[in-house]
Amino acid sequence: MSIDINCIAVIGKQNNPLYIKNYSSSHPDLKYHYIAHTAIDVIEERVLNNPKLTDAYLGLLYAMEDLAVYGFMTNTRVKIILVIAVTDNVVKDADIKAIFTKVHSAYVSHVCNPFHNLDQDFVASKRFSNAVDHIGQQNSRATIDV
Amino acid sequence: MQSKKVTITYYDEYGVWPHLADELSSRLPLRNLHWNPSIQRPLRTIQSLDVDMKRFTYDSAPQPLLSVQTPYLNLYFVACDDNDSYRMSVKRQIKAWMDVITTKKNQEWMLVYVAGQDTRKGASYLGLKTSVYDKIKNDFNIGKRDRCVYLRSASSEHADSEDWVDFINKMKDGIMTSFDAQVQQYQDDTRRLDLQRQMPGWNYCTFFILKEGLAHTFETMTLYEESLIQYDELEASFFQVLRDKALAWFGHVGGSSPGDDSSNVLDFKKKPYRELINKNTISVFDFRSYLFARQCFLLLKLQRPIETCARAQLFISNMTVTIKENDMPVEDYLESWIFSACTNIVNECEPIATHLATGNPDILPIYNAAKADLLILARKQLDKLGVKHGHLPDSTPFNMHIDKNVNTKKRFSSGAEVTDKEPMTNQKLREAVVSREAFDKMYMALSTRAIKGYDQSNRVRSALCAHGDIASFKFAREKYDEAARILDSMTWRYGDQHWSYIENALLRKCAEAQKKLGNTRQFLECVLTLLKNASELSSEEAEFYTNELLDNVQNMEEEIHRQFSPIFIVSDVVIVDDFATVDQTNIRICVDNKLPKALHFDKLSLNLVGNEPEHITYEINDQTLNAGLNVFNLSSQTSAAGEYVVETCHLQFGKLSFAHNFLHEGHEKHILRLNHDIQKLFVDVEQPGSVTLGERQNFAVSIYSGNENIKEGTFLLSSLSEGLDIPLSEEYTATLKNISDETSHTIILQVNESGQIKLPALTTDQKIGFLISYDGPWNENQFRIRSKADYVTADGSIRSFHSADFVDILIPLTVTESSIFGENCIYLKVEASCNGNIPARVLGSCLEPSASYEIENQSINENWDLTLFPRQVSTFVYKLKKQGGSTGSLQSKEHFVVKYQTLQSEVEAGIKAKLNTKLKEHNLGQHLNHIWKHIRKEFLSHIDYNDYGLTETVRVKYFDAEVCESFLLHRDLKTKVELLDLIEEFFQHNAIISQSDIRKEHPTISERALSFPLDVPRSRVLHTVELILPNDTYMHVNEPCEGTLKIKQSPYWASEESVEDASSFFVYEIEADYDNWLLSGKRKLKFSSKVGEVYEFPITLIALKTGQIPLPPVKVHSVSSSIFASTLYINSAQQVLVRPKSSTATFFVEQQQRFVQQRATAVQTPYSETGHQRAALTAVDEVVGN
Repeated sequence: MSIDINCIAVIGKQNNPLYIKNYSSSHPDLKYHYIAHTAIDVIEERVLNNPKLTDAYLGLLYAMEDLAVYGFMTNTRVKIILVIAVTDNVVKDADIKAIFTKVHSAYVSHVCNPFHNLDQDFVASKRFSNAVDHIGQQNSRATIDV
Repeated sequence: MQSKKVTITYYDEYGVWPHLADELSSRLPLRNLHWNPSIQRPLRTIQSLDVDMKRFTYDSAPQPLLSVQTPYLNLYFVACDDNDSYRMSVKRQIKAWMDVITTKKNQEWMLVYVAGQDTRKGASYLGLKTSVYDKIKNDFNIGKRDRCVYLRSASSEHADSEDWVDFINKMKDGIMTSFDAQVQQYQDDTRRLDLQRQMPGWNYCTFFILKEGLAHTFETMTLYEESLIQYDELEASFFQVLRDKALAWFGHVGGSSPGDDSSNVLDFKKKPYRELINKNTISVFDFRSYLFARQCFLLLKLQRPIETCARAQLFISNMTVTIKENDMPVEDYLESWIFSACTNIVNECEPIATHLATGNPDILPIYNAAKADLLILARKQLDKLGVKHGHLPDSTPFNMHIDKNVNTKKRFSSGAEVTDKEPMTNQKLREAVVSREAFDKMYMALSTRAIKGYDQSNRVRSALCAHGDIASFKFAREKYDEAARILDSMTWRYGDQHWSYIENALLRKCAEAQKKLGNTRQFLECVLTLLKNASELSSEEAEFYTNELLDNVQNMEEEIHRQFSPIFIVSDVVIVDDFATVDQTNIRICVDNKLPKALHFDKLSLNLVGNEPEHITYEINDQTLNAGLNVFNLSSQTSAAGEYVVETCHLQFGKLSFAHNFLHEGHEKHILRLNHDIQKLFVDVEQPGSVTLGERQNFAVSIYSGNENIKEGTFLLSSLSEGLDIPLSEEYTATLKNISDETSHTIILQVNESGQIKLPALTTDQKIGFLISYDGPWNENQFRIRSKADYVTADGSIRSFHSADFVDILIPLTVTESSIFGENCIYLKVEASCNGNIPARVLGSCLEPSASYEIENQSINENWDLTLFPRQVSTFVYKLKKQGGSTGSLQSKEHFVVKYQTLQSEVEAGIKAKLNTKLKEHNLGQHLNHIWKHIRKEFLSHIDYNDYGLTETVRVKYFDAEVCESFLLHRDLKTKVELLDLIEEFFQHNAIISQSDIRKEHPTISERALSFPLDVPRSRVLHTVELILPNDTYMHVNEPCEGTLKIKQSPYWASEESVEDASSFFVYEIEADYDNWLLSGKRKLKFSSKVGEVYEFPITLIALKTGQIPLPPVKVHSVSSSIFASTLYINSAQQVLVRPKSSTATFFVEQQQRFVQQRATAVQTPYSETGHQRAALTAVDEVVGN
């Protein structure tokens, strides 16, 4: 599997960013904040147009230059956004879905912490950020020019 | 772009075509064709099909593979009336034509017989001769299919007869048949080729051409959908091939031909793509461009602009990767290509979309979103170019889209190479690169157009992003006011949902713009918001903005209000009131300063909300707030007790103030329990130690100065209970006492205009005590009152004391009195008993004389210790005499004064003193009042004081830690636990307390005094009644005894005003006991009486029994009910000895007769039989003296 993950973003129910991490070296963080923010528009549009949406996986939200943005929304309306670098290879939905599921389960185990207060500001635990970063880095461009 | 048409050839040997052409073209295009596919497809209907008529030629050049223009139907027009000539030549010609046609694959043919005007169709009347048409039919129809049509020439009037319908139908049939055959052929071919995919030598290009042939076929038949499917399948297999890396034939990436960077991506005729494919020389770039162009072409045919845009997005991003990976020979190739592609697609889609929207406006939002995405993409290319060519600064957000990795690589590798490249060919972009004006115009145009698109499609965030870009652009162009205006209106939208990273990026610009514009206030607001998101700022930045803030905060004109968080965080609100460490109640709060720098603040204040008073402010002034955690002790000018809710916290820097509201929804209320500052001025209100019933009641107010020197002050006591009224008096007499040396003197306290009592100057450890009278219901045993003292201390600070508490009003004893009149004195009997269930100790009693009476005799006992239990009565008797001398200072009524102490107050005072000692040992003395209030209510209400009175030991059985905990809430945990342990320990040690213990602890038993006013009558009509008998020591039974009743109205008790000779009527009544006495005379008589006069009434008494017999009592009543008369009966309870008669009788009890005789005498006796018999039967000799 060679999916270049550039960014993983977890967005809260109120559309507030919970966790945004840039795994690329090519673009500034700000770009991914913008991408995550505008992706909410598309997610909202998708959800609005398919009220009977049952699958959490929303598929490709949009592509911008050499980046493709995928979306995922949990039952609690927590959104996960994945920005990957477009390659010549066709990206399989199943692969993307698998990444989303991993991030989602990291999030779930984070909020299952009895000391986590859902009403308060999201504080990413070390474990959560490690888990997400692991997903992000594992899949990010492993080929560094040596 | 023109689409392909179905081709039909005709062979017109006989020149009939010109006659038919108009007629035929009027019936074109063909309508309602039905394709019933032979394999696995549903029935398709083609609404309308354009047909291209071509003259048939014999040049039988082999059809090139690439050609898609195969005719579907071949027509042969025959016009021949003559059988012979048919047989001679025509037949042969047709045959020759057919030979050519049938060699062609999948092409239908049809013979059209065009009859002249006189030619009859069909057989002659007699059937002798067959017509030429019939002959043709016979000769050429193969199988069931009728491939011959009979037509009349155009000039015929019956031109529109069924012949034409038949002709058209057969044409349609023919086309469909050949189409179906072709489709089948292609499908078979492609399937075969597809199966060979794994074989060596398999060529994707061949496969492509073949499959595309099918697509073309569908396209020709206007079945665009089917056609698109073919292309989609081709695309999928292309990627499949790409993944398998079997693309040997795509030797080069391509895209390097001149103009490739700006050519129309939708133009699939730009290059001879099919040929290139067929020759295996096509480049990846060209191939994909072609494939995409074909797809878009079909999509546009299908009127799907949205899908076109969406696919374009994907295509562009895919191509971006390809282009990026390869070094293109043109400068800014990628930017130019993307820009061109985006603009091309939008331009193509726009008219279709607007056209579609007239019928179905619902598609507009979705289309607009897709369009705006493309426009923004185009604009991002401008960003990149702008940065590169110096039109835009190399900063966010403009350089955001530049791939840093690629750029650095390029810069590294090819410093000089760059110039070798061709310039890009997109004219617009070139113009923009050259001219800043054109660049700006284009930038704004694209952005605003994109925003419009986003707005129409409800993509607020995307629009917001574009707005931000415009603002940044304006900022770069130094149009600060515009930039600031845009930013001001939008940055909060990011902040609202906590997108602080983006917000900060914009705010930095906004702040700078505002600063350049000189708007200090707006600048500071930006800085504050930036600092709010300081977590996203670097430390240098944070410091920079903090400095900016500090530099500008003093120059502010208006006030700015901000929330505490997240720049500052308040936590840990704790009361510190142990007097070992602080001299007055402090609230300790912890302020976390998230800024990297120390700040000096003017004021930090904390507002509490409670009952009395409603608001208290704790504050601290002029302190430095260091970076990180700071602890401040806030103090208040107000001393109050009770539970207070922490409401708000304010932090003031000049005109800038931060506020934090603790009462946000969802947050638990933070409650603090305050105690009074016991070392500051303290006011105590209670029932005075000496209470006189029957007068206006007082509260005893004691004001302790504590350790303060007070210059002046005011005090106000007000009622909080219904019915309780505290009237003002002009002044109050108070005692000022030095607690240390016990000296005291009396002072007068004035009342000022607003009704407050003015307090004099006080030094430390002084006490002012005075009484304030009140009017209130008698039966209440508790009043709630508020006391408030405002004062100025010697060092000039203004402080105040507030309290609102219940004052217990206890009257634990009741008395009843009765009086008995004597000749010149009065006996007063006072009975005291407990009022309620609590026994009281009577410590002394006395009767205070009044203006009317002096006390002739009383037993004054000062050191009593008489425990009076409930339902017991203690009686006190006093002898009073009319006051003789001066009566000046005496009260009008006699007062019975009891000094007492209830057992409850004794026990409670003892326990409280013990508890106080205990608390003070642990430095918790400040909690005494609060704890005592609750302990008394919760634990001491169960003490059996009767038991204590008897056994002299108290048993405190009841201790409940849970209850105890409940009133220790609202303090920090440490204090709470400490207190709880302490109280528990206290009760464990003091479960049984003996009286001596209590007295030891509290040696001065506070004596209380109750003074009861007594009602002793002042005057009475008193009659002295005397029964004067001749002999008042004895008398004889049955003998009348004449006496006199002497009644005299006593002058001693006569009321002064009735001295004049007014006489009134009275009745005397002898209440004779008829068992003992017979009475003769007036038993009851009304008489008129005057003071000092003696009246005598004769009566005769006959005693009926012997022995000591009390004289009958006599009473004198008043006739009128308004006069109270009492009687002093001198003979009261006097007994008189009644003797038998003084005769002797001897009885001999011998004979029966004697009894009879005796009975006879008895009859003669004038006295009652029974009396006589009894006398006889006593048989005792009595000697009657005298």
